[in-house]
Amino acid sequence: LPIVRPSDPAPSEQELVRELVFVFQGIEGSLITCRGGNYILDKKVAMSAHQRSIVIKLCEVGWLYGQVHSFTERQAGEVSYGLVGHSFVTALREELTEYYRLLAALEHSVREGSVTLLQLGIWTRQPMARLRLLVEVVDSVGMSRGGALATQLYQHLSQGDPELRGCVATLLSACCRPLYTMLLRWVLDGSLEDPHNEFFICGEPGVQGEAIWHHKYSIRKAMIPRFLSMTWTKKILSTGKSINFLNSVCKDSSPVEGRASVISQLEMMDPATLFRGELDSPLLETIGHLYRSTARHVLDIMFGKFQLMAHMGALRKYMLLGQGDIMRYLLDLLEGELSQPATQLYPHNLAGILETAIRGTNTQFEQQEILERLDVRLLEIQPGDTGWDVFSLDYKVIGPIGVVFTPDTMTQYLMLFNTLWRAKRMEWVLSCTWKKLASLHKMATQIKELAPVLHLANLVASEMIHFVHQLAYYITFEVMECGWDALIKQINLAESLDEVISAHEEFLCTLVARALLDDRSREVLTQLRAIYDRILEFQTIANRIHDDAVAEWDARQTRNLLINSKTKSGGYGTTEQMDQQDKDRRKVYMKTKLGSARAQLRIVSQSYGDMVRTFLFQLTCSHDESLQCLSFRLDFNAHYKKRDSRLSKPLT
Amino acid sequence: GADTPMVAKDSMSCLKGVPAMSQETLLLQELLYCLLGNGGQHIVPTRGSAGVTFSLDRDIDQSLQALIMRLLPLATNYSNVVSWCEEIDRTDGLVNQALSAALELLLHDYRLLVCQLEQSLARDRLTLHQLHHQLQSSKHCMEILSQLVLDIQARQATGGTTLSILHSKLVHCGSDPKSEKIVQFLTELAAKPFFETLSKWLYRGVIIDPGKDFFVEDHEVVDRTCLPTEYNDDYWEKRYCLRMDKVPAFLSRYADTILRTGKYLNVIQQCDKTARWPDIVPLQYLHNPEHYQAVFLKAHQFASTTLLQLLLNDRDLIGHLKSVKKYFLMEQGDFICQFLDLCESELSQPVDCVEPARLESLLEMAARTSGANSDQYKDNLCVALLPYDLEFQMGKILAIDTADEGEFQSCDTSLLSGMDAFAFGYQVEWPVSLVLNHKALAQYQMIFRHFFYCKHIERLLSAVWITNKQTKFLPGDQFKVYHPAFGLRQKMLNLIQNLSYYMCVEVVEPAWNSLVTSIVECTTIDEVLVKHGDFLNCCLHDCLLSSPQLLATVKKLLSVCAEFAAYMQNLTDCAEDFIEDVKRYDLQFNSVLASLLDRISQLGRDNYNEKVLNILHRLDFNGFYTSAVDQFKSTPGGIMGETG
Repeated sequence: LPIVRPSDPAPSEQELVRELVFVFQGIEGSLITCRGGNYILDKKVAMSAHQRSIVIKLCEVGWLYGQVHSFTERQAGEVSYGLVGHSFVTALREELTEYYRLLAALEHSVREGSVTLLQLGIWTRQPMARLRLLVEVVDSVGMSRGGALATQLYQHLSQGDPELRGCVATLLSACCRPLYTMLLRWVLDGSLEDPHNEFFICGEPGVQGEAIWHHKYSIRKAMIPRFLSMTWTKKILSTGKSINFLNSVCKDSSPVEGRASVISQLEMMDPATLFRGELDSPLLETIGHLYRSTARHVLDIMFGKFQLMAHMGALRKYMLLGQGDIMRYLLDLLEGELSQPATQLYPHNLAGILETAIRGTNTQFEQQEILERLDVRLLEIQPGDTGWDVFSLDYKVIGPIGVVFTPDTMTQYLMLFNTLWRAKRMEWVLSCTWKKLASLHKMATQIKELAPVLHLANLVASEMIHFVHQLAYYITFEVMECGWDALIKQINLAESLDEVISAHEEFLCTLVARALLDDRSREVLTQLRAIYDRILEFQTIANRIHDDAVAEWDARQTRNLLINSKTKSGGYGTTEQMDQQDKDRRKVYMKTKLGSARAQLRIVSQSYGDMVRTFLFQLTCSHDESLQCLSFRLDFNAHYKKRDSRLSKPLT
Repeated sequence: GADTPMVAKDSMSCLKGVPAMSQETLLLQELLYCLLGNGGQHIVPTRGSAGVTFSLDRDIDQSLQALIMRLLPLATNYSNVVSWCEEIDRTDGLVNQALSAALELLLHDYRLLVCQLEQSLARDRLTLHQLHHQLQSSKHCMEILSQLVLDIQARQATGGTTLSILHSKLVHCGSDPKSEKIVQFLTELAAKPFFETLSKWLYRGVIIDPGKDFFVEDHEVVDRTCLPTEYNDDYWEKRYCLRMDKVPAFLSRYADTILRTGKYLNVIQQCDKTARWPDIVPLQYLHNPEHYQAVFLKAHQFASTTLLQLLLNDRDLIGHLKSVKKYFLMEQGDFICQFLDLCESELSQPVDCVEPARLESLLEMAARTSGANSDQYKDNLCVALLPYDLEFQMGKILAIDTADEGEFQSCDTSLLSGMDAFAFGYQVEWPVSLVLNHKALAQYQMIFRHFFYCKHIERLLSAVWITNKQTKFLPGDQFKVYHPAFGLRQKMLNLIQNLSYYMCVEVVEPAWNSLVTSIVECTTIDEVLVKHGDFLNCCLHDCLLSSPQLLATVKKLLSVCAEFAAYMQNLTDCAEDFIEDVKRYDLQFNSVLASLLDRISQLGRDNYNEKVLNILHRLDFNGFYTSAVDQFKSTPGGIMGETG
């Protein structure tokens, strides 16, 4: 800067010092003027170069002060800045007050005339460093509020300089005070007192009932202070949520163990412990303790008062077909009813049948409460559906257990029931068919023509029975039992209701996947359904064979009886006409009925075999190991493998 | 910045012709300002590459100029230090920040001194000479500081590196107590944040290092609660690593100990939530690095012992090892028999036709119907089909870093039988997988495959023995025909049983016993890792697996046995060359066995402590083979002609 030749008399050092003390407080003077926040030393003022240099440097203090000051003034006026923000502003003002105090002391010495510019330089070192930090903090904080503000401050806490660190720590603990109060209210009483949306947990006021567990409270990600990890945030969320749940849904007011001491401990604590890190933090330890005891309490209530496990067991027994006798009996009872078209079903009839089934089996010893929840339900009717397609058992979920058994999970249960019920029915159909075929054996000795057809039918039947049994084995042991075992293990380990819920969801998820109900195995499931259709087709054919054979048998018996009685009465046993009739009938039976039955059996057997092979192929390609195992089980003796080139290809 | 370079205005100097005495008063004030980084009218700073230099007004008295020149380096150094301090920001790490705060304290003293001098000047009690005298010690001090700062700047040092520089400075200052004191002061303050991080790592196993000062780096990107099962020794090796450039020189000896201590604590933290932690001992910089040793060793001891206790008591390491031994080292005989009964037909197919799912379910059946059923870890066992055979695997390992490495790149699986490719796998949970890691399991697999193959051959020969029982009822002269064949079978059985006996009873059992006893005595996990590695190496070596030639010979021997067994099983009534065939097998067997024995005795000549020699004694207990070999040697072309 070219120095302009002095026109005014040079100001004395004292004058400059006095002027600077004003500048330190953001007030311009006659020599040093302020333009747009920047301080300018009039170039016309005559002074030596070294003095000018030091004065300019000292002006920086004033500029720094101005930044902090204007920030506090601006934010103090805004109501929406929130509690945390206002605490921050207050703490900044405290800092400034301290600065004013220093200035006052300085001004006193200045009046005595003993302060030189160099001394002023030394004096301002410390405040300048602090102000510089404050400006940095204020800049980085910007417009952030609440938890985000605390995060910003926390990032400044890592300072190598102990003094500056202390300064940030003071600011941060001021900011943490309102957060701490909110935190305490939340973990102790479950109430959210957060008028300016600064807390990291928010609640949806409209949600009521069981839904509060899943939908009412959520985490405001942006407002999580950096010094709280997500794990802790979740724990804190869960603690308050549990308290609300206990109060409003479980209507439980029994005391949680050890709560009083926790409360007194928490109230004694300094908010600053919040950001002291997660190592050995007494605050987090206490909150962890509180979390565990509350979660335990919720679990006790759910397992004790609301018998969660009993309901889970009941769902397994009835929705997942764990209780065999009632299912079998139901199949027996429902057969007539469900063969009708779905539109002609009446739920009250079905409910009556269910009642009969309950009375007739071990289910009658079940708890009354569970029996009351058990019901019949008809699924949505598609055109052409028979009763079998739409029938389903149902389990009514009322009360707090709805937290675990949400509508979504109940839909999964219904899906599972449908699949399992279908498989069960196939088993039952085949066993009925087997019975009928077995009863034909005796007749086959009389009706010689029947034997080969019967043999063929028996072959197909045993192939199908093997298939259905292996599938049942797979579902019972590999899917249900293994899944249930894992579920029980996880529930026993669970510390909180959330863990129970997720364990249960995982259980259902595995079940759905392994029962081929997920998206990935849609093709396999379609194939399986087609196989079931073949089984039903076979049932029809076998029934017809049976009926025809019985009719034929009856006809022959009647004829023999007639002949016998006629012979006994001394007449001719038979007439030519009757012989002719008999011959015709036999011919019709042999050619038309047995012949068509044989042909149909061939077709069914052929297409069934094809389908099973495709099914096996799809299983071997599947990712699930247990499905590969199933494929091995179904084809244990390589019966299908020999007939299909796809199956004999190496897997590697 | 502290020193805004002032543009030297074209000299409209007012000093021309002013007497030296008057010049001195005027210059003194300017000089004092200049010493605190303010340029003046007559002493003009210019910023160059080597810091700030000053040019003096030409009109200043010559002798005054010379005296001032002597003081100006102080101003230069001061400006270096101040500008370094002011340029420190948050990216430079806590150590540098702390150092700058400490420097600031020293600078403060210096500034106070200058102010006092100014006051004396105001009272007219200061001359340039006095000033020169008064500033001598500051000049020295500032020089040290400036050098330090320049060093740090030049190496762009932060964190541990800065501490290294400080430490070496301190060592070099040994001769000068005053500067030593200064550097020590700086080092102690600068090291504070570093040692805080260090003690959290040493006593809690966490890295809290916002400024990236610390020398251990965490490579973990995923939250560790998500994947506890995927951890293996890889994790162990790779998650934390040392940044050698950040290791302070005085800690370089302990870097590894420190790294391991924190790692162990980390494992404990993940696996045992109830662990009792030691109190955090505040650490600080010590002049003598030897004094750290006790502290670090204690921390390491604690971590290592706790981890070991966790593994032994909570995770039942011994139980797992026992279980592994049961299956891989064939301790559970009935299980292996059961398994082979079930799987032999499946495994004798080419590997591409073997169905892993089938094997898996057969394995499960074998485990549940044998004595293995009572083992609580039986479900950890699984089936593995490896795409190479044992010889190839061993060869590949031995060929690493040799010329043959290229040969062992891939193995043709089409020639592999299921038996060759088969091995067990064992699934272990973290943190037991620290000990039963990939490498250890691979070694177990190698031993297992060898044992398994021997067992298979033994079963083949036994099957031959059973079918041979049919000949019992033949008349004497017909029966005689079979004598040589039966003799050979017996020799083979004798060989294979002795070999198995040697491997199981003489190699594995003693090694295992010593392993178990030594694990109980171990106090740290490192010792256990070493002991376990020794155990495996010893087994591999003594089972002849580590020498490719020996292994090849044993394999050949076994394959002769297998061929013979197959021949005997497929014997039709009218085998015409039966006697010749048997003779050929006999010769082949003898020659290979002789070469094996020869190799073993050669080994014994090199080192007679070899356990392998036991085979020799056992097989040749009555000198049968020695005399046979002698006999062969004495009949020229007998054995050589057959094998060559």
